[in-house]
Amino acid sequence: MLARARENVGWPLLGILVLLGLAPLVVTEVSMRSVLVVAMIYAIGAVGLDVLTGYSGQFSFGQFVYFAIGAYVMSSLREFGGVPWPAALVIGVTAAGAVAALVASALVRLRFFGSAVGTFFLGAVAVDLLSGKRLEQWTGGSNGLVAPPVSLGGIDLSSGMGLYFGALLALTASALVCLRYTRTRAGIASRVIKQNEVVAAVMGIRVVREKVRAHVLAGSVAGLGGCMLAINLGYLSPETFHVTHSIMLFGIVVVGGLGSIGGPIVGSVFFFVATYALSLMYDGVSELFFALILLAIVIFFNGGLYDLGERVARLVRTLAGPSLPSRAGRAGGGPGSPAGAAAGRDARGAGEPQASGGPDGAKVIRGASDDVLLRLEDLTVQFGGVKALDGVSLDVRRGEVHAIIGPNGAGKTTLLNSISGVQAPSSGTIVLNGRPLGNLSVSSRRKLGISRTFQHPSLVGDLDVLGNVAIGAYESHDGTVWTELAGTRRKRRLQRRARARAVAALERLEFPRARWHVLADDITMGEQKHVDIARAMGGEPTLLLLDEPTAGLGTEEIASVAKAIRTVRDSGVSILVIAHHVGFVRQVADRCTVLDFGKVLVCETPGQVLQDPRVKEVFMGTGSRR
Amino acid sequence: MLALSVIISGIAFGLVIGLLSFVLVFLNKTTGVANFAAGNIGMFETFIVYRIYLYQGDAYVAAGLGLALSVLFGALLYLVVLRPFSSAGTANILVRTVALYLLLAAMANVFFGKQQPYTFPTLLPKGGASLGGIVIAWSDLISVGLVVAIGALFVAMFRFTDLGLQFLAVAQQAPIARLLGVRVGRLSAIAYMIAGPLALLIGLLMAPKQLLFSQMMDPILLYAFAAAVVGGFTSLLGTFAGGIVIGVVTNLVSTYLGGDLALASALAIMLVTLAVRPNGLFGTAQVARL
Repeated sequence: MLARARENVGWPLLGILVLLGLAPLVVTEVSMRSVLVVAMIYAIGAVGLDVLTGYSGQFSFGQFVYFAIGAYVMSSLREFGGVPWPAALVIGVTAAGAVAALVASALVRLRFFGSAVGTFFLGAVAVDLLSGKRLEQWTGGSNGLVAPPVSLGGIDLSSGMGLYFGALLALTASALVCLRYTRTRAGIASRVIKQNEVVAAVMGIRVVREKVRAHVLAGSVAGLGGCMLAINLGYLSPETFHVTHSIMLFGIVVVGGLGSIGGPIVGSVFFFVATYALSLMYDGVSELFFALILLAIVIFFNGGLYDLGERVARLVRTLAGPSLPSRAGRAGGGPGSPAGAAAGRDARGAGEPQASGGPDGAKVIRGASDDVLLRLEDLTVQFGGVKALDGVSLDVRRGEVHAIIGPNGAGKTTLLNSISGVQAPSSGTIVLNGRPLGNLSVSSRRKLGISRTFQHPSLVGDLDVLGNVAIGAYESHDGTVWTELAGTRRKRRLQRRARARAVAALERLEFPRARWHVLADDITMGEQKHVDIARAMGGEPTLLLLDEPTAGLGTEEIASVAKAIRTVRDSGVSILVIAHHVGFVRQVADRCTVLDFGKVLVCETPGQVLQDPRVKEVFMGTGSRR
Repeated sequence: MLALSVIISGIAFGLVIGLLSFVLVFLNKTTGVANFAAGNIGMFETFIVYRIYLYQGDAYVAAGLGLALSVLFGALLYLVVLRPFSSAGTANILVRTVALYLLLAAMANVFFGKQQPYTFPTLLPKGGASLGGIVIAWSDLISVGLVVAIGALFVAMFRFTDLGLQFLAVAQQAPIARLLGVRVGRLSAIAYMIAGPLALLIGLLMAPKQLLFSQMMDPILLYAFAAAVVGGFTSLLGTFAGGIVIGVVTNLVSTYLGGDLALASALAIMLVTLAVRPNGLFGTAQVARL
């Protein structure tokens, strides 16, 4: 994607806001101050757009629709309804959020270009509607609408210092809300979606809802920006909300630096100050200048101004003294680790009775042919004329490790996709625990106890190991933006429990604690596979589906994954694992099914299977097969 | 009677929409990104033609020169904007096209003056033929003919030439085409060299009707996106059908309900299509691989 999403952005953000607060001491020129006011007002919407794009991976080229809604609702309520301005402002923001919810729930389902084209379209349509006759009664049409000045306790908020600090206050509120959101479950879940939607869905994340939530947040703060814009301008006309401004806003976020919350504020200040300075010297080149900067940044320097700042800060730190680089510092154990350890101990205590019942019981019944956990009957998956699976019947017994082997294109991953609900079968039944799964969704199957991993782990690279596992360990991904932000008791409990489950899963796999706070981008392939298994374990499954957990690993790493799989089995979980490595299959599997061209060739113990002449034919091509 | 002539001019407009829509889908298929700047590329090139025309006075010579230059312009844009560090991912490339959209508009404003909009010389004959009481403008008829001829040229290229076959291969499976020896980078450059003159042609067809200014392509770009969705985003020739649907409906809406609803109706058609027939009229389902 565009750039990584950052976590430790609180202090830089505070610094930027304090600098803006102190700016009037230095900037005494009135016109320059009003430039800063406009910059801050754009920044209110820009930080929301950063949550949407930088953290959630979605695009919006129409945020000024929500600016317009905030501004027009607030102004026309005051003008025609006589509503006092604070109430009108709240209603304006709410209206923007509500429309964002409505719009987003339609747009995020679009398959081809997500919300990018839809929001762009909407931006243009909104301007047409505002200038047309249909809404003239409330919006004043192309003549515009007056936004009367506001004041609070005798302080004029529409001009001078009152306006400046009013805008700063609104920006601070918007930035803090957005910052908080990125730290909630919803914010982190968004980053999984940004990484890979299918993986997110398998982890129980409600992809559509989570995307809509990000839109609602971004729309609401853009609505607040619109209200401030109305207060600042005193007069609204449709041109103020032209779709070009939406694209500019997007450009501001990219120039400032995606995924940093503070960056877009810097971008906005940079944009308006630079264009103001340029307009003093030359006429009309400011847009050209900005477009060039934007293009240069997207082509050569993805991270934007914030990233530039980070690099300078790092350079200064290394020059100042021989201290550890920042990532190693994080790896040493962030502030979260002691708390995490404590939670881990709790979880172990709580989980003990259940876990101790697991392994012993499992050992006894393992291999008992009548205790079937998962049964596939005559499963067929067809892609056009190709049958990826052709009448596959097999069962997974409680507490066993069942390996699936077969040449490329045999339908192994399709089999896992059908069981986990990613791929709907053309015919046949899948029965878990005596219950037919029918066409249950991915998330419902997860609730019934099916977890899976992927051939390519798809961890969130800019999130640490523990965070990656924890986001897979939530019991519920329901809620609204506002309950997330408020951090209700239920939300906090869910978060505590997810963290405890994550700690338990990592401890069970004996993942070294020193590596828990390393970013997933910085760990080895073998570690990624472990983290992926731990993440799937976080859902406390009864059936774990592993898609080639050994692909691309060396001998030692394979042995370590084999050990992890045995540990998981001993805790009472049944495992269906796709494998390529014969030694690995011998090590871990109780039974082994061979797939070839979508059909079950044979299903026996690994020793028997690997002796079977038909299997030798399939894998080594000895003799004529058909 | 009015309705019929509105429909006919809607079809003519729709085919121009379809042409831009075709450019979007063509670029999307060969380069992986639907270029937001496609319309503005045409706008900028039309400005260049206008400059040449002011300089020497013959609109046809100017258009001819412009078409030749636009091939170079397309290649230049590809090499400068899209080619460097192109492994940065589709999201990055998408934002580049958005930046290019802004840049071209800004460049038009700076280089071609603030006295916009300009009246652009008509390249097509005025007047029209009366057919059973309905007047069909010559310009509409000729633009329909042009678009149909271009469509036919592309069909011929895809069917009978090696280059066309390579385009189809890249459109189907870019990585596999690359493995089979298709030089995808070179092909993308050629795609932009084709897109350049097509975009100019759209500009030349639009400018005489609705004046020449830096934002002239914004509505038709949106119509073209809607047309691409209606036609099925994966279907190259479906875009023309989509364009006709959008052209006719928006023409009817703006005649009978008011111009401010034209864009909204196109958006509505796009959303309804995506809800009812997500793959459009002619598109095929996409299969994602894990």
